[in-house]
Amino acid sequence: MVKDTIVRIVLLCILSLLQQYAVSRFVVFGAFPDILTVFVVFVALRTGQKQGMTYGFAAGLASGVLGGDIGITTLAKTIEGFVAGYFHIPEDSHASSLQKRRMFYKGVLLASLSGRAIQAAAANVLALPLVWHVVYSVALVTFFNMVIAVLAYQLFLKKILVNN
Amino acid sequence: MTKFFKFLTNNNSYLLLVVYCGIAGLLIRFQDTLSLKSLQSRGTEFRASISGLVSDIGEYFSLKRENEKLTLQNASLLADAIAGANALRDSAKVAAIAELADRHPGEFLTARVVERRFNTTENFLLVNAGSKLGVRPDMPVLTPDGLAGRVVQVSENYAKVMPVIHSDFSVSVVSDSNMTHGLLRWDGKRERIARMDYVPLSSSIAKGEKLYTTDFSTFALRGIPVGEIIEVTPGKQFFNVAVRLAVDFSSLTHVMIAESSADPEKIELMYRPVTGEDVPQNETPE
Repeated sequence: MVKDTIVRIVLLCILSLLQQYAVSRFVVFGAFPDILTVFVVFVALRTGQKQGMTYGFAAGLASGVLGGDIGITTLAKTIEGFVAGYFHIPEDSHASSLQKRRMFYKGVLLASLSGRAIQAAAANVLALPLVWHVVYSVALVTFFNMVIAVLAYQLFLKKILVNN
Repeated sequence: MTKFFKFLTNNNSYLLLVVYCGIAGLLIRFQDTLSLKSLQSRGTEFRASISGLVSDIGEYFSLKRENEKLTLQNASLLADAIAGANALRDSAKVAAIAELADRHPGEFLTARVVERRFNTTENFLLVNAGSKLGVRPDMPVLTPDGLAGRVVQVSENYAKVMPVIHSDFSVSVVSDSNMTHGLLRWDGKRERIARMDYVPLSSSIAKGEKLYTTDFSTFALRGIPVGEIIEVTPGKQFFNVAVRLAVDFSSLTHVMIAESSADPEKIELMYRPVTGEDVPQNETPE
């Protein structure tokens, strides 16, 4: 338990730095993917809503300190953790690998939509009308996050989710 | 009360959400306060230091390419500097030659040294003035410093010059103070040092005297500087006289060719064999 927590905290720090210095540079049409969202969803899926929210809150703080807008980012990531918590897969779950995969993708989709909607409403960097900006930004970032989620699932998360 | 605690226990996720959202709301509300700004500025500093580190790592891997680029630039600049220095040097020499040529219009042709070979067996210069410009064999070649050599072969556009520092070269010279005559030759040992032969022990030649060409020369005009005496030691019959040549052949780029050389009539007369008819008959006493 303690070991898992330490691993997740270290992973959170590494992913926060990676997000700030690498992923955030892949800007396409004014938006970029958010690997912290995928991480928060994964934690919420594995450990539940409260843990998901806590890691979301911590991820928001780290991201805010490094990138700015600490309040909005913290709020958005907390909401992401809360939403992803509804797709929690308990350790004694008998769900099939397909069901687990669907739960993960749904979690990423809904968490991205909700978290990005809050951030987009607060920061209109493209100077579009608010509604268009939110729709545009949410759609684009959610799409990017889904791509990252698919890649992460196929490369790393599949083994962890299916085997347990 | 029990119901309230039961509600909290059952819905502690919502409670946690409210707490976290409350904290986030406070962060939004007070994000312009000094303490939060200080925290964010530290975060920015940390981010900048990491960015610097990442940038340094990137620069390290691009050092080889940068080095190659700088080497190319350096080579280009060096080539420009050499070309500029050459142009300056040449312009100074050309100016000196042009000044001398202007003082004697119609007497000198200026030419550039296009090829040179200095070794122990055969030293020569090739200049870019030939028969088209009126250059002929046996014309003296000089610089503002003094005598450089004589033309030995001519093509249409080029002339081959035997320099003073050639083992076959010799010229009749005279010293400026004592008017001592002698024959200047180069012994092939040191580039700027020649010797003056046939200076009798009876002469009062001295170190520091300057040597000029004489009328006795078969090719050179009278009065061209040749060098300066740097050492005089007595030999068996003649003095051994060392002469420092006036011309520095190591930096020779431009020369002048004198259009007027020794009088051909004088040369012809000098080399005409003496026959019996030319010798006057001894008068016999009657």
